[in-house]
Amino acid sequence: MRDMQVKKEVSVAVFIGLIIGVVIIGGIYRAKTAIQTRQLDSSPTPVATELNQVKGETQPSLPLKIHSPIDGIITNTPKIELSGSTKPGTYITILTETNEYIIVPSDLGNFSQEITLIKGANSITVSVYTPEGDKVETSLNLVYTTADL
Amino acid sequence: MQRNLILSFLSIFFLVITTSFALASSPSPASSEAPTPLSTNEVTDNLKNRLKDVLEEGSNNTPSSSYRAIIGQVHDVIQKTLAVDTKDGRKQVVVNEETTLLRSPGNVVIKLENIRIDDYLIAMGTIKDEDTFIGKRLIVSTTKVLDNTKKSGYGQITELKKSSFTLTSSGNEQTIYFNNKTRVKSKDNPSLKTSDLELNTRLIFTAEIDDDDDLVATTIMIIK
Repeated sequence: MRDMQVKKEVSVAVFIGLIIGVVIIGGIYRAKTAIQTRQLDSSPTPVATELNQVKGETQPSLPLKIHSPIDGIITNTPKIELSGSTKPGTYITILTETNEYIIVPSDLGNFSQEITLIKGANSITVSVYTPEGDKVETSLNLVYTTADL
Repeated sequence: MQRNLILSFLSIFFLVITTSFALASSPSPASSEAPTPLSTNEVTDNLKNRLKDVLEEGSNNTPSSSYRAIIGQVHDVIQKTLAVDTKDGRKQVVVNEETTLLRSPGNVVIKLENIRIDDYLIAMGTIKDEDTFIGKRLIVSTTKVLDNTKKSGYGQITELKKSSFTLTSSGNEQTIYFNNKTRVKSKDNPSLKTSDLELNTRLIFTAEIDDDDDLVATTIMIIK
């Protein structure tokens, strides 16, 4: 009988503890939300600037990535494959020591072109043009040598 | 008994508090940055590129994949270090007892003191850090080792002559010469002729800069 009463009182205590705990946490959560909302309302300009910067960095209007060769590479063969990716529907010019190319990327934006190197230093300039004339350009230097290093 | 009651009450109370704080401090999916959804094409593209990178890594035609080259002009020589101006800014090239120094043309072996400020340089060696390079084989020359005599551009033909046209882009005009070696093409037709060029044609060109600093088109891609 005494045990039953103890169990009952413990159950009541557990229930009351739960209720008080939930009420306190609910209050803290509401207060936190209200503070965050107030902070956002009072500083609109910095948030907007930050969003613009992120957008500009992560979504460039005209991307260009050269997958191969790596800038500064030393090769012992006179022909190498230049490959990269950009926006589909653009035009790519490749200027090398021996040739000039104008190519178009695939529907996925990939492109590749075999290029011939001269012995010694080679500069390769890759430019991408949109039909509207926007342009992005990158260049890489590489060395073709048969000498042992 | 009363003690048990209070202990139970406090245990449950603290259990609720600590659990709630743990949940609140973990990042909620709604507030974290949502990943940008990728289209199937982009995913395929990324996978292809990554596969290509992996394949190319294994087939690099380099004497040793650890060797790299920098190309530039000697700005200064300080003890056993050359300050070299490259397309990516100033780099330090360290010369040690294993470095071979050559002067071109002729590839004559020289000493460090024979390197002059303003010499053009091809340095082959290993990268120590972002700005420092350990030279293994350095070739210096008084003449440019890279000579940019080529150019590409975009514009619309606003004047057309027998062997040249005026190209206008963003208000800037430039004269492009062409000859019988100039290749003309479009996306759909790889073998057009210079006679296919018309007023208001929009095009992209590659050209060589001749001795008179004139641009002579080597390839023309007609856009429209």
